[in-house]
Amino acid sequence: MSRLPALEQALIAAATRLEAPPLLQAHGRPSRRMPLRSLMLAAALLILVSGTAAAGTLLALRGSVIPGPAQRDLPPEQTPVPDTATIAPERAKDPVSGPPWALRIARSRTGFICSTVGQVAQDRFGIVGLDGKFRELAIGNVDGCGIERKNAASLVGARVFDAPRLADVRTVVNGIGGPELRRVFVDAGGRNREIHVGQQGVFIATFRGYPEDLGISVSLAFADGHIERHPFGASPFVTPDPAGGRAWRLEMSGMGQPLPAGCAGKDFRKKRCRPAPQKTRVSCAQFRPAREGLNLPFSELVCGRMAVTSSGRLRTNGYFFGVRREKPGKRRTSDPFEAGLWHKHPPRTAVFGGIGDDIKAIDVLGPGAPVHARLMINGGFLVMYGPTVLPSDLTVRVTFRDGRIETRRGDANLVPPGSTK
Amino acid sequence: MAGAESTDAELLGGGIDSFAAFYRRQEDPILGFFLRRTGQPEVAADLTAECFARALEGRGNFDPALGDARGWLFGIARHVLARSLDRGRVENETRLRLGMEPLVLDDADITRINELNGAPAMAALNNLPQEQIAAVTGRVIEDRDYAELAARLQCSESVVRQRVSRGLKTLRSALEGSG
Repeated sequence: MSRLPALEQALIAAATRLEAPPLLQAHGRPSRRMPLRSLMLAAALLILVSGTAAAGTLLALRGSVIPGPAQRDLPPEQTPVPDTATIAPERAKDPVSGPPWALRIARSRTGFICSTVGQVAQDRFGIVGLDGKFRELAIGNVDGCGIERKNAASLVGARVFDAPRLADVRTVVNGIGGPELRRVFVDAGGRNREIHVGQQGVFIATFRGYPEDLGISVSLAFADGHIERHPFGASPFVTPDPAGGRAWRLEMSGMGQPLPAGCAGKDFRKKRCRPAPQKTRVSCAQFRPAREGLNLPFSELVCGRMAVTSSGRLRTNGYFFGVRREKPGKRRTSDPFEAGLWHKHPPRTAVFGGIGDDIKAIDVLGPGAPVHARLMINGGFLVMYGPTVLPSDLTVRVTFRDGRIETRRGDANLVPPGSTK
Repeated sequence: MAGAESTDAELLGGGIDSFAAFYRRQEDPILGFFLRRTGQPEVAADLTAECFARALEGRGNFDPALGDARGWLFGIARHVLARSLDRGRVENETRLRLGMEPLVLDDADITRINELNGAPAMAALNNLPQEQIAAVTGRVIEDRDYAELAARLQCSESVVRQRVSRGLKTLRSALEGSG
């Protein structure tokens, strides 16, 4: 029996509706064709980041058209009909130095509208890889298809073309807003920019960098006055870098309970060895770049003991935070989990920690206007400052829901390093 | 009929009964994965439902030559979680497409999900040597790769692998060895 029998039944019912035949025999020959996701991933890697590592494979692709995925891997809704494909006349300048970017529009077999982002060179639609070669994109390559909507955007996206060097990364904001779309504005990197709207409400704009670093947000104004907003880089979990670098995110974690005295791990089934319901709980906060990658910096771990008010659906009261200047070099503690690792990233000062249900607001007072911290649903907050701000410049004001206010300088309510073990 | 001896890939590639068996086999790891990351049983169940719905819809794309079925499923789980965090709500597009009703949980369901909180395992984990706690936590609970852990723990990848292996072996015997 499963743990969630209702879900198991719902899945069986859905599988029955799908009436899908067995897709892979138990000991049968796996498909020679790559699945769509793998193919697209492979294509993206080959085209965009393969420069040196996949040189052998690139030889095979050089000069050839990048094929679309196998038809059997695509549902009819996502399969473009070749005769319907056109390249929209709108162009966006490449932020580095390549050919301009454009949108190819097509109809799917079921009548959906489909779009593909690419570059146009000598009237051909394709893409320039990091090896500098232009390759055509076969018609089967689509970014997405959707139902054509009236007085609303049918397709809106921010597609990232990745690269090993940050300077080569492009984000292409694009969409099909329909004939009622009048104006398009894009917030990116602290600037608001109006984008040209073409026929069918097609728009396209390019940016250097990742959407979360730029905080990209798209606003679409329609003829009847209503506005659609699409945040592509902005998220409650993403904190922009104050110096215009890579965006950050806060991770929260909780620690388990120690065993009662005289108990070892193997005794857990004995009643006296089961941990009593928690009255307090150690929570921890740590920040790191929003986008995953290798050799990226991450902050020291700060932890505080929170009062547990409900253990069924965990609820806590209280707060804790660290005020830290993270910089390369010697770490504050010897424990690698708690110490963080800053590599050669430029220094940053941050106020970060956790809050319980009884906290209404956290405000950080320092150089410039007070910063009202965004309280995240994971029970954390993160306020970042650039390299010129020092922890001693900052004061933190904590407002409780019952109206009390506490003002703190420096760390607050942290448990000593090592308490998390 | 899907048997206990069938591999994950075989179950994934089989019929409806096989998929149900695949679900039963992978339900706890996926629920536990989401529970550890969200701390909320309702949200974990919701994410699990979307994850398996995607696995059901996309199982034809699974290719055993590219990796094992469990890894493929966890890839979906990580994607569902990341997308849901980005959007600030649990994704449900696939369930809508498959005509699946929203999952309704009762107290018994919540209790069963909370059993995956792993209090005994966490207690046993705390008894490991400090370097093994760091390695096992990083690899198993936080799902980090060995290269990152090696950087964090300032040792080689092979040392991290050894610590994880030894830690898990000790945990296994601690959790199985006493009644």
